[in-house]
Order: sequence, then C-alpha cells, then structure tokens
Amino acid sequence: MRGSALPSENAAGIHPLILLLERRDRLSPEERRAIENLPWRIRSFDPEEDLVRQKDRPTESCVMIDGFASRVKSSADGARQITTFYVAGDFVDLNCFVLKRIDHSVTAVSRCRAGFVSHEALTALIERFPHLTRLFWTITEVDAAILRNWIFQLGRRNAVQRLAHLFCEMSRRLETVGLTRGTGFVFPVNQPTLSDMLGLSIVHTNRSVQELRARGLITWQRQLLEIGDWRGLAQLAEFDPDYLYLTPEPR
Amino acid sequence: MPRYYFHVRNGQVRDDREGVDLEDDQEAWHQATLACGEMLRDLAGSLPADVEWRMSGTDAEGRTLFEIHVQAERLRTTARTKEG
Repeated sequence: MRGSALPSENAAGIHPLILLLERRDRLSPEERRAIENLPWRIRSFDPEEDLVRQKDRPTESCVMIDGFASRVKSSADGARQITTFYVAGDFVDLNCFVLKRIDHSVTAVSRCRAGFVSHEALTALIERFPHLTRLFWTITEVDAAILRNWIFQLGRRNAVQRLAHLFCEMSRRLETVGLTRGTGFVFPVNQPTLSDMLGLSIVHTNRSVQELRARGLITWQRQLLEIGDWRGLAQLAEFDPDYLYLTPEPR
Repeated sequence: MPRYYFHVRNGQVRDDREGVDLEDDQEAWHQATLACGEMLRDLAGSLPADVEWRMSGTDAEGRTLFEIHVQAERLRTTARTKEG
C-alpha cells in the first residue's frame, strides 16, 4: 500500500492525512487511493516563512506533511498569540475551501513540508465520495474542539497546567500520525514561540518548564521532549483526550 | 544575549537555576513585570495575607538588578457566619 507520491516521516510511509482520517473512521481502499492520487504539490518552508498569507484568496488548501506550523495573531505593539498549532496530517486551511479567503496567516514554526491540492481536485474528490465530505467535516469539527479546549486553557488554567496540557495534546496528536518515539517526540520549538503559544512571558514560560522538569514529569533536550511520567503529567493537566475524537466510528 | 535570572520568594524560596537570555536590562525588567502579573494570577485568588511575595532579577554575575515586592496585609478579618 505504498503507492503514495508523498514523502512522509512516519515509518509506514502512509500519507499523514490518511492516518489522521482513519483515527476517526475506516476508509475504503478506493477512498485511500483517491486521496493518495490527488495532484499533491509538495512545498518546503523555513521557520517564519508563511504557508498561507492573510487576505490571500487561495485556490488550493494544504496538509502538513512534517514539521510544525501555526496561526499567529499580532498586536500593533508586537505582542503575539499563537491561536492554532499544526502538526503532520493537519488539513491546515481546509476551511478556505469554503470560506474562499483566509483571515490570518499560517507560518512555519520549524522547517516543514506541506502538500497543496487544488480546490478543483477537492471538489471532484468529495463529489465522488460523499463519505469523505463527512470526514472532512469531522476533522474541521475536531479543529474547533481543540480551539475550544485551548480557550479554556488560556482563560482558566495556570501556567504549569497549561504547559502540561499542551505537551499531553502534542503527544496524542503526534501519536495519531505515527510521530512519537517511545514516550517522546521531536518538539523543535524555542521558548519565545512556546511563550506565544501559552500566552505567557518568556520568564514565566521558562519557570514553568523548569517546574515540570523538577517534578520529574518531562525532560527536554535538543528538541526531544520526553514525557517521563505520563500519568503525573496528565493528572496535573487534567488531560482527557475525549475532545480529540480519536475513536473510529461510522460517520 | 546576556542571561538573567528571576528568583521568586513567597514564603518559600524558588530560585531560578536556568535563567533566560534576553536583550538587555530593559527587556529583563519588562519581562519581569509581565511575569509578576502572570504569577500573581496563577495564585488563583489565594494570595496569602502577611506573606511577602517578591521577585528579584539578577544578572549572570549574581548582581541584583531589581526587586518587585507585593505586600499583602489584611487589616480587618471578620468571622463568617454560617449563613454568610
């Protein structure tokens, strides 16, 4: 079942979008083949480079193949908040397929690759497979659930809990697309970017990382984040993966 | 970029062992003021009375550059009635 023209970091060489979808429902062999055979155009990005620019009217949407990207909102005085964090498999701007324009930019956090596919090809795909329409709707709803959860974290959780939750979520989302290594994962994010995700100062972000380390919950060296005590971390974060909808069922 | 350390005392000592690389003293001060607000918020309404909360910022040589104190005092404590 290799067939895919898409290079992929996960060991099985399966298109990460297929892995992401199959965690929500089974795909037929025809559906899998149709996704693999879409006219994917792979592009590489350096950190800070835009995958999609605000106010663009994209005629294509992209799926993350590897690396990390984010949606960032900035204020006039330079304060930044990362609102969404994308990992392999995420259909970054599927919403533009229907919204027709994008209201804020998507920027690479690390070196990354994304597969772009025209809206024309997507239209043909979902007209042929209405089931895939429902699945694309499902993953858009999962994105919304992730956002709701993140609003709660930003609004009502303290720094250490927020950070613990972020690591738990990253671990589960990367596991979905086969990118965890044992109890760890590659997390090539510097502390200023991490603080923009958490909505915290660099100082408090740094202290929170130190605290998780001191409690023996994580280690983080050379971009490898290792969760030493999953139960402890999940308990501190009150992490419940329900909102990620990782159980396949007919949709 | 020089490294700065931000130590917090709040009844107990929580020393900053790693520090953070920042542009200059001004940025260190700016970061400290942001972090103080966030840390007080993290106390989630349970700032203890009569305990001083303090952050001190030092440079890599251990020289103290600034201190931020929050002094919380309760001047009247009314016992709550059962119904209250």
